[in-house]
Amino acid sequence: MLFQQYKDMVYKIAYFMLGDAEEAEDALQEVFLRLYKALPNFDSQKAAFTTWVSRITMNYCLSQRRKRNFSALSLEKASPLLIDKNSSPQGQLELEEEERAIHQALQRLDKKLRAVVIMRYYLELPYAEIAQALNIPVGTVKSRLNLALKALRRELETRGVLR
Amino acid sequence: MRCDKVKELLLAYLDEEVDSSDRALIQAHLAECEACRQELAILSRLRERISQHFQVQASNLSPSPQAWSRLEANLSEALRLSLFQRLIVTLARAKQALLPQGKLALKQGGILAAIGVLLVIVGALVFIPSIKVQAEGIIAQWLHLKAPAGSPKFKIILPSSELDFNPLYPTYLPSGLIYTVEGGVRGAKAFRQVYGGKDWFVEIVQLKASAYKPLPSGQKVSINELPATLKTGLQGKFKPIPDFKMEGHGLFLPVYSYVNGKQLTWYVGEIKVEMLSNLSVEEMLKIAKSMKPQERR
Repeated sequence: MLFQQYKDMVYKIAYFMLGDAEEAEDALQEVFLRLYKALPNFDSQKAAFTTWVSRITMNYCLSQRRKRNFSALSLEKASPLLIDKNSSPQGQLELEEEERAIHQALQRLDKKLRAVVIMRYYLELPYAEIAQALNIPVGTVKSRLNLALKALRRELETRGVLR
Repeated sequence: MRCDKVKELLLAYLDEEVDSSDRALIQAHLAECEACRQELAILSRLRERISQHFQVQASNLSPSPQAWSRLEANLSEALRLSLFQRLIVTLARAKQALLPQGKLALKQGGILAAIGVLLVIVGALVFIPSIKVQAEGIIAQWLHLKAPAGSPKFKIILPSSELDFNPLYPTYLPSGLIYTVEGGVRGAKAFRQVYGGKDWFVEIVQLKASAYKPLPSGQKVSINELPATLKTGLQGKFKPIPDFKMEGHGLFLPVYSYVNGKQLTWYVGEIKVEMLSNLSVEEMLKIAKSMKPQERR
């Protein structure tokens, strides 16, 4: 079933794009409504189904204005890893701190840059598929990735995450 | 290749997105340039750390257990609205098509008023109580779920509140039933039922009979000891909902072309029943014999 098969993927992309669990839940609903409506128009000759689903998800997320300021997120919301801070050993705390820093750095990126980072380093799509999904040239994918990683590097170096 | 050009290509190089000639040039440059090798190492660590971050986070993320039930409700609402909007557009277009060309501008106010009136009428008569699309059935169709044997995948109920008789419902239908359409037609003076599978359909129209009960010409048959006539060899196309375009609503009702259609006509008390189908005569008689009144729905 379509929903069972793709709900996690859609939800996770939406969470990474929007930075908030509640907004990702809303996105999941809206994206699946769009998916079901657009299903008769899906052309397997033009794109892989996963690319098509990611395209609809990304287009929805890119059209959204952030409802909340991510910097106001609680630690738990900012990183689902932070389950029980009291019982964490030092190493775990450091890892969690790093995760939170990366999450925040990603959320500070321009959403167009964040989209290509997610598609490349989470979905592991090749540049050509990212270009197709976002309807941009491959050269733009390359330049956005370069810009995104430069910005992430600057931010994470400042926070001492990237050593 | 110069350092600035190499640095520009390092990420694509790590992502294996450079062509073989650039790859060779980059590798040759890296072999000799310590600064670019350091840049490559930093970029590689950053890239891996971001990938790792996504994997770690993703393993802890999942939508709420209520997501599906929420979506079911949203889908049925979207479908209901979509049917309504489509109906309005169709009615508005029909209205425009009926106007003579050239008089359109003069009649714009009239059109708007007509659409406004239509909105109210359709809203009152059609939208609110009528197209009660059973959500779980429609969603099952959208998701291509298999319905339990013997039950339709979805059901469309059109208004029949004006009906002045208690219609009959078949208690037997052939296997492979996908959908049913039931509701009032001809100003809700008649009751129309359609039951269909992939390759077969049965349309049953019932209306209150006058005192004079003529049967059309045809082969004489008997249904529960009541006289009936059967016409065979009918040809044509059958649409489950004749005046409504179903495309775009996720409702993929088939259109049937039939070459050996049959029509069965008989009376049950005050009700005249007409059945059209592309099934065999035996199946049609079996359905006809199974028809019984139910509580008004």
